[in-house]
Amino acid sequence: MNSELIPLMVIFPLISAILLNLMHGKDKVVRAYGILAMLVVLVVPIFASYGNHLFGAHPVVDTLPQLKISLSEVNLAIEYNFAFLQKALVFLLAAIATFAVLSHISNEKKVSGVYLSMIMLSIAAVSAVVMANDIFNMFVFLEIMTIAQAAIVIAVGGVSGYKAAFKYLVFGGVAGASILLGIALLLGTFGVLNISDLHNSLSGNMTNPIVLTAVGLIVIGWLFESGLFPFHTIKSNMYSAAKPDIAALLQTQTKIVLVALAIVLLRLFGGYSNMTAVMLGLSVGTLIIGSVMALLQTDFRRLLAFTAVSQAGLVGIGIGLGTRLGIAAGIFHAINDAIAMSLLFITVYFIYERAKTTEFKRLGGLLVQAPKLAFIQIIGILIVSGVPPFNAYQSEFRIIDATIQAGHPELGVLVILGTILTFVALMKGFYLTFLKENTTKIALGKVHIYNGLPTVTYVTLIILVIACVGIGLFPMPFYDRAYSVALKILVGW
Amino acid sequence: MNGSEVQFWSFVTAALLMIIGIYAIIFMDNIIKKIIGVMLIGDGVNLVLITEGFKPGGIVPIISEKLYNQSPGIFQEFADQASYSLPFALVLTNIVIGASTLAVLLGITIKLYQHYNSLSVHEIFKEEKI
Repeated sequence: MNSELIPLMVIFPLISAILLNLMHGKDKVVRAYGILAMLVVLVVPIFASYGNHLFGAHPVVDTLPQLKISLSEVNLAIEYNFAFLQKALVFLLAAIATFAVLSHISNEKKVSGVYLSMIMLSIAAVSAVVMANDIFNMFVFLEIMTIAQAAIVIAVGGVSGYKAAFKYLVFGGVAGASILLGIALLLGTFGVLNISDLHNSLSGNMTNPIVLTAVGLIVIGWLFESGLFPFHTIKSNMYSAAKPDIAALLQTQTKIVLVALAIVLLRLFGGYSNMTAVMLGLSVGTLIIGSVMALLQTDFRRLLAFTAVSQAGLVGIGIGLGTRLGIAAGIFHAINDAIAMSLLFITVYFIYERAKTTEFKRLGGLLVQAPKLAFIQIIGILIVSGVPPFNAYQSEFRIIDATIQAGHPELGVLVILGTILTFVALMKGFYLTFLKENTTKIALGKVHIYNGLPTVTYVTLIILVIACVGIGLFPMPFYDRAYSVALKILVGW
Repeated sequence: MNGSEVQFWSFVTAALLMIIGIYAIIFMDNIIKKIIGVMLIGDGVNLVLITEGFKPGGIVPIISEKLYNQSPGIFQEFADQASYSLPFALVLTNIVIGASTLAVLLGITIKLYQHYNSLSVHEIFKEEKI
């Protein structure tokens, strides 16, 4: 059954991106349309009913005797699936993007239509990646997402933004080519692109060397798009070059794409025995390296960037276990961590907007003039570090439980170690920003940290804290649904 | 050269394009050469897709209603001889994506050149922190 609101989640932001581009320069129109568009983007996933949407063609083509030719049972249409997981991910994306758009609109004297256009383009791309049941469609929107993200960072990042975006696009070009070559090999072998059809075709063909090559190539793409080792520095450079409010959006998009692609990998190649081992190994590497790198940073944005990367490793560990508990915990943690890291990035956004720097050597002593901000940041640090009763505790605990259930308690130890490292790194950032004595302008109160920041920033912080506490106290409605997604992946879509 | 040989040499050319592209990305110091490397890899993948869709002696996969009415049995012949058109559609899409990426990369290159007055990667990224 076709649900008309499902394609709207991709088509509306795409059309809005084009319109905002055309409106560039007409400040009032851009502001009004930007707010209206975000309202629509936020509301559509709430009201869209679960189901599939087929673009053209028809669901299944059977043998057509009247034409005297035999067509195998394949899906000819491009298909979008929309269930609870897609709804949660698209809504999460829309919520964080709304904050990024509203903070730009309220903070800037002149709003850039092109900038908002790129945010819209990235929303459309990530929504399509989450819903597409077609591997080529997924690839196209991954590429669009890469370009849009680079453009967002270029727009506000200065020279460091250009450098980060350049590296991101070069590596993105290679990773994109890798995914496309993998798709080409699968297409050449099985003749189909629909993920459900490929899943059926692949069963029993896991020893085929062409399939194994395709697995390797697509996994390289997954590692890049998810910011996992060895591409962790590329993503962290992007986060730290962007403004913190945009970094919150970028890291949310990365976590969403990580989950979407990991589900596709498990659906297609879950039968390949070494698949989960590869995912696990690289995710553990990301967790540990990301945490250690976070400890070494001298800039709060870079510290958070590496923390976000290490948390992506934690999500990868959950999903990489390949068990029901692990996949469910991984998906649950992706949602929780995207919210918690956004909270932390926004607290740093306060500091960045007023001090125009996040380097530790130029910060310090902010506790006196910003005690509320310090309090919220401490809460954010506790959330990301997995302290009860917050949401990330519920998912990190379940990931550790899943490692033990899967017979890998050593992985549980590594997860705990990574979490402790993350806590220490974040506390270092907190100390150097709020507690350390300093004589810079900002510490002496010559720059007031609360002056001039829009109400939307405060409201967003409060909403995010409420979300973290709410999910932490009542995790089951979310976890149960993540568990049913895991069951679907393992038993059959 | 028969159809199979064309396919074989196309795959070899695609592999060469990708290897040259990877070499340029890793070993070339000039930013423009690195960008050309990225594009060469994309072109190599496009060539793989085109070669997949190539059928020696194949016909264009379009059949009109008029043609079908004239000769209903033509569908079987069509199914036997038509080229596989899907890879060509994919290549077209990928060319557009490649052009967009190239445009953004060249735009960044102009900005970096204006700032550093150099196209050397070592020069531009020498202050980079890990």
